[in-house]
Amino acid sequence: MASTRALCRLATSRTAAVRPAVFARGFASVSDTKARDPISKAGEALAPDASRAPIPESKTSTVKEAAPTKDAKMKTFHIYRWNPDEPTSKPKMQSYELDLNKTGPMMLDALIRIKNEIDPTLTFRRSCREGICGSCAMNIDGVNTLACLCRIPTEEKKESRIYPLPHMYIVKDLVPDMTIFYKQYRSVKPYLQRSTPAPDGREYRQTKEDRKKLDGLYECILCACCSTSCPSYWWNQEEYLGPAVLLQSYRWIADSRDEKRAERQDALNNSMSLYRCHTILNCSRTCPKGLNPALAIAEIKKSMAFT
Amino acid sequence: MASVMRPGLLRQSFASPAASQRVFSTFTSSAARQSSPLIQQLRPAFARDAVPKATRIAAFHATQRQQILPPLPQKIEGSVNTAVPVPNPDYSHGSYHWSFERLLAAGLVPLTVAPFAAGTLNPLTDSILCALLVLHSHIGFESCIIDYFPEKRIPKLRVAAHWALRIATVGLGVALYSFETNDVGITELVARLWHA
Repeated sequence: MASTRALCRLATSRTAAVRPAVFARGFASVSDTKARDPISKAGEALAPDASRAPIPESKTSTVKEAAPTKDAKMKTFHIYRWNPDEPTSKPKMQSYELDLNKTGPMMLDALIRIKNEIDPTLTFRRSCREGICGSCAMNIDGVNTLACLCRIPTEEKKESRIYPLPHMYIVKDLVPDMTIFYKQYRSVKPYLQRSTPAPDGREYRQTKEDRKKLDGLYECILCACCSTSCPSYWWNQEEYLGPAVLLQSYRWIADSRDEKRAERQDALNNSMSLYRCHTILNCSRTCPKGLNPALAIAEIKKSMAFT
Repeated sequence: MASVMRPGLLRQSFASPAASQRVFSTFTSSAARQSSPLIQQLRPAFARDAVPKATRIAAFHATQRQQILPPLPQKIEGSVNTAVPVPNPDYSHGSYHWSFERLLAAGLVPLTVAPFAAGTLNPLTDSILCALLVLHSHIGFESCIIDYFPEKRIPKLRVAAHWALRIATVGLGVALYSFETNDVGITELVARLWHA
């Protein structure tokens, strides 16, 4: 139907002046492969932009183990790489082949081995290697977890993909910029706020039942896996606080020793800070510590409803 | 071809002769002159491999040509060590709005089920159902607009979307009102469609 297409294009060329580029959908094509190249390709030739999809693994090299043995269990890892020293370069997927027999069981072991023996330029955060510090949070095979707690699947045929936390600005390779996350955490005033002293002048005490209410809230390590798995947080990162910060906000709202419950609730009482949560539940699904941020958010909403 | 829709790009595409060939590909149907990809698939495998990859069958794409809201360079309000600004409490857009939304949704459940369960169709419940439906859908779509049209990036588009939603809601209300008064009503409509 080339004639219909031609007529369509003639018609749309008239309205091109008043139609914003955002609405200019391309026409689909079966035979002409070059026609499907996005306009961004021409635009990139003029003004390269680092913030777009990385060069896929089919177009980049594979770095292999130095001295493979005969019964080596080789597994391929595709890791997101971007170098801020070349800010206009596209991010790319670098492939590494590792012998699983020489590597520890967790993804972090694989990353450390790559950095030590194969490619020292690979950059990632890590600290405790036991899932308590929250530094090594990254997106592994589509799931936001801690690399030190994520076992390497032993099937050699499956190729693992390691990306940084989704929809965050990237400092380098797998290191996201957590600035806004920490600023949001600071904004909920995550400390005990009390104007009256303790009744007998000693510690601020609470009953065992009250202390039990904090279980599942205080264990949060602020790894940001949940917040960066939330689509609402992706689209409204500046205004929506995200499940991690809301969980911590509830930790203080639910604390019986805290006296500023009303102020904490008022801080959340606007259209964006709390109520962009639409119970997508990605957060609870992905929490590497097994916490339930969605439940905490529901409890906050319940405590604020009809009051 | 993109350059036809954006005249500014036409000049650049003409810079490379291969590109200018492609600009007129539909008019001169050069693709038809080479064998069409469908016919190529019917050829034996050795002939297929001899054909250059570019003329093989392309996967059928319908993706956007350009990003809708590409990320801006990072901007930090205040310094790295200051908190994100806490907005003033706005109950009407916060907890009251949420409570009202849930009440509506909860109220809609029995209103929708009851007429069909009971078998009888009361025009009063029908009209309450219509009213609640209009409000429920308005609030639902408003939430979508707030989610997907950030005020700081596309303020005019967001305002336009809100007004389009308001006009649509009023239109829906008028339409349902006329349908209820002049015609059978939506529960009767559903019942008839079901048994038709």
